[in-house]
Amino acid sequence: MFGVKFNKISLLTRLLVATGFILLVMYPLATSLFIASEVRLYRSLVAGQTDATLESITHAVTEQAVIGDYTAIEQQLKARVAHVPFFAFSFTDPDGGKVRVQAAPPTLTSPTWFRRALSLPDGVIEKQVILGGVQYGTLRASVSHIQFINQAWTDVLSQLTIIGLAIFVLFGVMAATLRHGLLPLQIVTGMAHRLKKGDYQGAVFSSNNTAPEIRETIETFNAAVCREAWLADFAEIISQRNKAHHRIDDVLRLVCRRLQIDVACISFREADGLLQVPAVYTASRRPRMEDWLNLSDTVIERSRMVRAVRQTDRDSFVYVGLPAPIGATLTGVLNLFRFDAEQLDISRTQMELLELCAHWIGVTLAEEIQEQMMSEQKERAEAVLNNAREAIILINEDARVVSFNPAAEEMFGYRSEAIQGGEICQLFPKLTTDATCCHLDRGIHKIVEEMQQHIYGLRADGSEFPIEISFTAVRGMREHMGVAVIRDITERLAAEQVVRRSESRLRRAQRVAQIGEWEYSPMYGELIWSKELSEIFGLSAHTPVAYNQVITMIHPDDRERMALAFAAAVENGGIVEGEFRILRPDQTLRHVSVFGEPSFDDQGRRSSLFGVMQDITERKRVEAKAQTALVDQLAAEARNRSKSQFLANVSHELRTPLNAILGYSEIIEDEAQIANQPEIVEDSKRIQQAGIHLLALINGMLDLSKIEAGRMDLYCDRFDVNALLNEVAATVAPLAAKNANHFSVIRDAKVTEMYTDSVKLRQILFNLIGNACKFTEQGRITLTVQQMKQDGQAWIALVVKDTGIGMNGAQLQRLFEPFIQADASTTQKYGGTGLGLVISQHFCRLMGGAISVESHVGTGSVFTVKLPVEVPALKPVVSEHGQYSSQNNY
Amino acid sequence: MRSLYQRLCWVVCLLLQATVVQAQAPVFYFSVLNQRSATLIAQHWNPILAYVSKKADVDLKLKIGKTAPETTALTIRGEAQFAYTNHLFSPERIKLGWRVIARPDTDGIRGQLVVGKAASIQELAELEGRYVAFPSKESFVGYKVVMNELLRKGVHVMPLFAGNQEGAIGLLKSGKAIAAGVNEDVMLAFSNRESFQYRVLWASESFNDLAVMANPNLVPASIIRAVQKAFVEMRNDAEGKKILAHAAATLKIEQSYGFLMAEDQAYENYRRFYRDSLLKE
Repeated sequence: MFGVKFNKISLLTRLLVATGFILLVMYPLATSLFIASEVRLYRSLVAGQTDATLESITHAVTEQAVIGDYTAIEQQLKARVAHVPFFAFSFTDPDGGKVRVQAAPPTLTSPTWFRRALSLPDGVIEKQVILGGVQYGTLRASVSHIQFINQAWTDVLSQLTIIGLAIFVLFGVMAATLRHGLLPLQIVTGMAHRLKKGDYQGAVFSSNNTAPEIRETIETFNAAVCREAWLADFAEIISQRNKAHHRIDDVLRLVCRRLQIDVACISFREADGLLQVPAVYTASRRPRMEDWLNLSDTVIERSRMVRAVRQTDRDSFVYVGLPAPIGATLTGVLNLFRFDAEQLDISRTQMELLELCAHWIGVTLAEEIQEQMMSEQKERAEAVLNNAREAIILINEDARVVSFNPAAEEMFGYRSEAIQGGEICQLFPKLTTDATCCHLDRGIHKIVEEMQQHIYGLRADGSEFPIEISFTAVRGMREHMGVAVIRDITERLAAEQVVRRSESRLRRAQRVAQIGEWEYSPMYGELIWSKELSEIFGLSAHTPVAYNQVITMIHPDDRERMALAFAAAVENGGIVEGEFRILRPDQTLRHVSVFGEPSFDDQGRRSSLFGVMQDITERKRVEAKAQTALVDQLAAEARNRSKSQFLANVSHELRTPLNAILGYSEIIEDEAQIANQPEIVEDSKRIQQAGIHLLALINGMLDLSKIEAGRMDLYCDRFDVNALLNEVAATVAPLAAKNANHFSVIRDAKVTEMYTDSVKLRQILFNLIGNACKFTEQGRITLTVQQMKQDGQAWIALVVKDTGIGMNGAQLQRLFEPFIQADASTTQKYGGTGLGLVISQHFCRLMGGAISVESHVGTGSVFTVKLPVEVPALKPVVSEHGQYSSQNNY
Repeated sequence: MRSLYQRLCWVVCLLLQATVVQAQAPVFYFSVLNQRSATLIAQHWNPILAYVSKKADVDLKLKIGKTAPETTALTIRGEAQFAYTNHLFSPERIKLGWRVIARPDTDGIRGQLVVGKAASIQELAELEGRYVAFPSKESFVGYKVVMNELLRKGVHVMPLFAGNQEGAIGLLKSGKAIAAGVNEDVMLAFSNRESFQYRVLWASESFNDLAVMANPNLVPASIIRAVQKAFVEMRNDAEGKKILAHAAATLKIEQSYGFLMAEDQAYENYRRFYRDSLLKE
């Protein structure tokens, strides 16, 4: 009967009852033993401590007892009275004197039975104080163990409390653990019941915390019942029609769900060892792949499973890899990861199913990869066709267009859709369809032959254009095809024609200019030159020349110089430039100029000298002739300057005595008038007139000689033009009045001042107005002054107009020649030196201006002087003799 | 009845007690200068005093103060009638009437100024301004004789007083003082006992060791003579020899000594020292 009742008690109840019984019996026993041990230890410690303390107290008390200092004795006893187990001391001398010290007696808090059980009674210890046979007193120490007994009782109570708490907690933990640990077994039981009814809901999962024996029981159960379910799910997945990688994902998901895997993925290695991950499925969480997928040192051999436990910086995981062979050189791996676990238990049944999955994944991946490779090849081919600059046309065995790329569309003007299926012959006008519509091999050869004869394409608009074509036959398993690559060479041919024409013009220019190019390679001693140089050197155009041969043809006087120049250019990489003479084979002498510079190859190294040579014989002849003429001209100019210098010197020498003549003649005239001798007065006047004429002539010659000698300088200052005009008008008024002329000045209000040589301007006006007064009688003479702007510069025009005798054209041409007047008779009639206008013209030029004249016989003359308001600063003026004169000596 | 009996007993007891007090011999106290610890003094002197008491038929008891000055003070106050001291030879204390009745049979004592063996001090002058340990101001050879010599040489030191001779040596040993003024014998005994090596910088002339003195003003002459006789004859008596040997053993002195008859003249150099000393009280 008891057996039946016991069997009905649950496992939890049995464990709780047994544990509680053990705890209730064993803990008091252990506590008793512990207290007994503590008491033994206390006794041994107290015994030693009591002796040592008594010895110490006796020694201290003895010293004071000898002296008789009871106060010191009391202090010594007080210092030690509180030390356990003592609570009172007393010292009694032989005379009955007593010192007693007592601490507060300890109170007993433990039960009396406990005190008796410990058998630690209180007591008094006596010790006699004797020195040298003299008894100084008796020391008594009262001992009590109540404090220790109280402490022991407190320990017992504490331990009992801990025991109670421990039993309570232990019962709770055991109950929870057993409930949780036995839960899978209850699920297995329930699952077994359902299986009996044919209702399978999936595998029973065991967590990492499940006890090993229970987990093994569950897995055995799962292995038995899950195989069929797994196979059913797997068959359903692989029978789907969707894409391969979707099915692989489903299989990975199935594996994760069945085996409680955190991450399942497929990787495979090619011959180069690269690890690729085509498919990843994570069931719970997905850490950083580079952390946990770095399994480069884990080699998955074909048909061998690998297990590993890894610890990374971030995760610890269990890894299982199963081979999934994809091809001969490609090994796939089914990778399974479970994180934060120390092992991954896979039953044999599950392993068989995993191997089946891995095998299926390998086969499926092989198909996937094959399809992907074909797709990539097709994409690459289309990319080439679509992006090629050349027209690419594919034709089939019937010479009909199969593919027509965008470049071909642009080149021929056909849309791809329109030309596909059409005969290729329509793109090449000279081809015949019959020639291409034979067997492809023969047809292709025929096409090539035809096109080599007629390399032109035909656009949709009917225009032809030159092409360059390459044709390749492609043999396939199912069909043969031809690929034509066509390039439009219209622009190239045009460019080539331009180049040819340019070269032709260059050759012609070289021939006309007698220029030829040459190139000398010192490394190989090779000299190449154009046929123009052969003609210059008098050699046959077909005769090869060497560098040394050219050097020997140079005139001996120039040979060393040119050889050194060439050698220096070769050595230093500089240019060679110079002129030299050559002796041609026909012994004629030619002058040649040469210019050469270094040439560099693709690597930037100096490779040769390239240059040109020109036949300059004719130029040399002209230069020599010009040099002779220049020498003659310079000699003439030198003579002219000598003449001018001579005249200047002579004029100076003449003017000095002439001034004396004039002076003395005036004195004679004055004295003759005083002496009333009219004849002498007239003679004196004639002498003065002759002298004045001669002086004017000499002054003019002096000025002219200065001008021609380049010694005439300007002395510029800023002056009021109106004042100068007033002065001139006042000066010339008597002269005008002499021939009953009317003189007037017309002024422009804008004319104010000038910056120029006022003396020379005044001399110019005196000359011009004087001439007008001289050659006009009872007429009108006007001086018109105007200011104007020309070329951004201010000018003043001084126009002297008269109504005199005028001049004809011949006279005007000779008007500005020295010592020349309009007519020879003029000098006789009007006098003058004939130098005034010449000097005026030179002065105008010196001041940056000019003088011009208009005249008609019988109507008068108009002289126009045009001068800048401001003399240009520091502008050198070349005299007629080519000498420079500083115009502005200010 | 019972009450009457108890009262009678009380009366009898009181009478007996009074009779005992009247018949009891007077107690004389023997002070010993604190050259060592009180315990050691008691172990040394109690057997000797017990022997003298027995031989002289006098009740002699040991009496010492905490320090030598205290012992001298209680002696001067008359709390002790016999003394083992050399503090009573100054002119002022001579007036108290203390007389020498015996002296130990030793070679006399010398004051010494000592330093540790490894110390760098070689001359007294090098002690200028340094700490020097002394037993107390009452110590004759340990302080007065030594300090007098230092003053005579013009060396001024900083004294540290330890209470007794071995206390001064303790200060020297611990390094708190660079030198110490000591009794030659005490220093030697301490060195043997504690293995302390030292070097003597200066030593005084020999003075007789402490004297056994009595104050005739406090003790009858017959008792003084009896005590004197007991001390002097102790070395000749078997029991006395045994006690002397035991007493020497307590001080770890190899050779035991007895006491000789002596008078004040034997300590004349003490009196001369006090007359000529530069050290003022």
